[in-house]
Amino acid sequence: MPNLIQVQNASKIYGGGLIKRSDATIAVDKVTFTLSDEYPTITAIAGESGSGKTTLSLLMMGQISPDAGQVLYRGRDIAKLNNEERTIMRREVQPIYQDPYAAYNPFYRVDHVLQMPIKRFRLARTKAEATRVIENSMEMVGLRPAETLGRFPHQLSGGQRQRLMVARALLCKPQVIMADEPVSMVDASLRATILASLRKLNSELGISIIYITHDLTTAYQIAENIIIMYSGCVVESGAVNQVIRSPKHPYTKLLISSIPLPDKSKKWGGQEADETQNKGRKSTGCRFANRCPVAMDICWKEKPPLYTTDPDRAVACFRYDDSPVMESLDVAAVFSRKGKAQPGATQ
Amino acid sequence: MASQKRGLLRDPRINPSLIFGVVVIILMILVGIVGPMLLNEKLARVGAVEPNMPPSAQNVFGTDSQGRDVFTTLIMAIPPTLRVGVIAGVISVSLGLALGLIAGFFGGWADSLIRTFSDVLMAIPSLAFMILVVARMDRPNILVVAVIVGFLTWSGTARGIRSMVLSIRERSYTAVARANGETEVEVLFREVMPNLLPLMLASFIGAVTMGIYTVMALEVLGLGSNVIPTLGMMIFWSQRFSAVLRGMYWWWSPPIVVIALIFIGLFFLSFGLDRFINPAIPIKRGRSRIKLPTQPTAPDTAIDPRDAIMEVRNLRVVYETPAGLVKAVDDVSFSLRPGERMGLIGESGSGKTTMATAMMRLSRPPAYVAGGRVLLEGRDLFNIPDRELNKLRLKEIALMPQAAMNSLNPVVRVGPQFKDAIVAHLGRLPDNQLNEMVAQALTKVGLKPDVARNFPHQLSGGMKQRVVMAIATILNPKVIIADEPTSALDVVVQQQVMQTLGRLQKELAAAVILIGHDMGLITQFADTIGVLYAGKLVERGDVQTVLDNPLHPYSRLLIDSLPTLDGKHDLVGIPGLPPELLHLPNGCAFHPRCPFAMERCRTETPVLQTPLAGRQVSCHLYPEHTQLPPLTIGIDSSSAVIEVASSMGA
Repeated sequence: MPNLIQVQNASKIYGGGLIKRSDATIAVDKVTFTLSDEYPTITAIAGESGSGKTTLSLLMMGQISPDAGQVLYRGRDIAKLNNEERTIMRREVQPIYQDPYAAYNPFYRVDHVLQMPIKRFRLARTKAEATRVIENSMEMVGLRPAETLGRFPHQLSGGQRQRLMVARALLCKPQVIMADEPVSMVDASLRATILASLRKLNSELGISIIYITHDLTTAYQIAENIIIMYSGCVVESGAVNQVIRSPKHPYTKLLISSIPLPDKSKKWGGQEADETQNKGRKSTGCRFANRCPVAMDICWKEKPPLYTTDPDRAVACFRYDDSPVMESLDVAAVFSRKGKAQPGATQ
Repeated sequence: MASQKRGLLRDPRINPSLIFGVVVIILMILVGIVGPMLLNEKLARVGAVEPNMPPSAQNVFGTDSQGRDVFTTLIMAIPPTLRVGVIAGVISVSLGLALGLIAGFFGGWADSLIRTFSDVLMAIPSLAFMILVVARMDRPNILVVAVIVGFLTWSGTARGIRSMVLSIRERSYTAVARANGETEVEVLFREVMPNLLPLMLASFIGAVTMGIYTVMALEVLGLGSNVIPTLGMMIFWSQRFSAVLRGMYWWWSPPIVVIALIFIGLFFLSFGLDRFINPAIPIKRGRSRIKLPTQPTAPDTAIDPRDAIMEVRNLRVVYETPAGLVKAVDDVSFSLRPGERMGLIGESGSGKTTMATAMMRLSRPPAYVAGGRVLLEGRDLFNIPDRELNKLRLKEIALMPQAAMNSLNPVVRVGPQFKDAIVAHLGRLPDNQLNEMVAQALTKVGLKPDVARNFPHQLSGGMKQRVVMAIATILNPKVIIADEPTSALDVVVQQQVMQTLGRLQKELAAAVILIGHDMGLITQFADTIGVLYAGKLVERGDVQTVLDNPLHPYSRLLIDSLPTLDGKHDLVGIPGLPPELLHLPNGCAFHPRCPFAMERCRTETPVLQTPLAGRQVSCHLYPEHTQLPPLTIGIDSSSAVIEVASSMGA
């Protein structure tokens, strides 16, 4: 099977107790997305808080199971993996979390998070080999073992801690790294270094990276393709050069015009909103209708399909209904595939 | 292992209470173990010695009415008393741990069941219950009592453990452990349990105290066993034979003193343990008498002070910590023109929030203003009486503190939250006038007036931030300090909120200081910018000019590291580590990371100077240069090594 992870028409619904059924939130709404292992790539999943980006990543890691649809790992339903297969998948799909403080158990020295995977996944036969493996992966992310090992987490800076997390993920010889807002809690001057090391893992070691973020500037810098999510749905998908530099979906446009750029000549677009407007109106069609400046009648009634507006892009908006409806439901079908093919993508 | 032990002894969290408690309890245990070995046990039996004798060389503590040597009895009574406590403690903590872990880790119906059960247990008045139980026994057995105490007191431990487990489960290190291949059982024992140790120890001491206390209370009431001498029984006997009335102080006082010692020891132990687990910086009341060594002073700023609405001169704020004095704001000077929008940018630990708080004279220990002045239209805010200052706040200068939207009172509707601010300045107003003011303030920030009737939780983050803005500006202040007003908001809402703040600023013609770490946000909002690094203002100037031509190497590297949408770049961060305020390097704090660092930078602290009109920078490259020398950047993407062009020379 050429596909690493396949999300097939998966939905995840949170809440909705017995008393108030209307409280249920559809965190992910019928998303289909394939992460191929033909070539390693960096894919960004972007959106505001509540867009479902983190839920989608948890589905992909098998940490939660979908309420509808299924998630496959190397062609097998994650829910039906046996213990051995599950262990392999756990090793091959490695997470990096947002908070570089909470990712370390304060009880242990930082070495703990590096030694555990070696023991559990049997990544080294001897102690010397283990040390070598650890030091290699630390050097890969620009950390000096002598300055880092043997310390307690609070003795390292946020940037060091997060890079060590990247080293930890790398140690597991992963196929995919799922990085959920890996730099949003790190100082601006240190972000670039962490992003650079993720990029290096992708280009030099052929590891695919899913970069989950609300920050479109870093997504643009690091990723090749991007999925924009709004309220559990994919609204736009494709090559970052297309999606970010010439957005088509009204929501993507809004997101990009809202980015404050460090350049006065680039006007901060948009206008001051009355946040209470249209709040009451519920849309049974496009989720974005009540915030959309160009909503049409049909948007309130029907959910837009994904239209293939360009070779490298799909947009879920009725404004583009002159373009063909995407044949495959897979939002990755329009991804740019410039990444070089990696034979087998194994290390 | 050895090094870890040494580390623990040097741990700053070790406090005198803890040491005292440990010493007393260990002493008691030693006496309880060694004492009975050295003494003649027979002397503690009824009729062993002549009764009612006062202390003498033979009977150090005298004898009691039943012919026992008081000293021997006393020592013999310590082990059973402690044993009772330990049994109660062990049972209570093991039950509490097991059930708390199950409830917290697995949740669901097991959690509900355990919680209901513990609620029921907590409702049982334990002493009354024990009296009932013991009164029904033929021969009261204190060990049984200890066991029952254990069974009755686990619920507190279980609750503590449960909530700890819940919070640990939220921390991503458990998720990291799973990604590292640990099984659920391993996560529980390897990741969760060690962090529960302090709590378990504290619970154990609590249960021990409770066990000793309950058993003693029962014994003093006469519900103890007559066979084994315990401290409680000694008190009971002395009371039965009217030792107090008969003036036999040597009989009744030793057990009371020993029991008091045990309780004092346990108290200090748990108190010290609490301080060990939750270390807090000791806060001294009143003004600190900190004397900082005199340092080069920054000259006054370029803006003519006569034009300034606000001036900060040589402001210094320090934190007093057990590890030493931290200079959080160090000799910062700048002026603010009326209506100016100034951005203050800095990374975590650069002192930006500390500075905002100090400018309102709101610094609270352990932070102290250690020098400098803040002049608001010529009045020194540090040198006016509190009452006058309160009049100035909100009316002349207002602060929107960081995360203020979370500080709205959750149980009070929005409208009344304005009231305090208005009443403090304008006195009591009729309700309709008050409501009118609130409605106007809300309209000004783009909210409907009926938002006043909502509770904060009914509002979105953006709306809450607008409410905070409305409260801060209700009295039309001339200076507004906004500390990261949009840090928790999504990018679209952030822009809307900032636009409202911008419009408000124009309407009020107020000067705004926007504090933040997002260079883009500050660029788009502010006219001028101040760059903070390690508590010092390193650069100040017009925003776009600084962006186009940064003078300070830190500003330059920070700007270069920003991701843009102009095309894909190499990602270069600032090399080296962020400064540790406790161990700032000598000279310029940036020199270890600076590609232009010279010998001088290692020893001499640079002062703020004006190499170009309207520009200020604190760097030794100036005034020799008028701009930063060129920098060729050799990138090793992983370590972000930056090499300086060989043309560097100064």
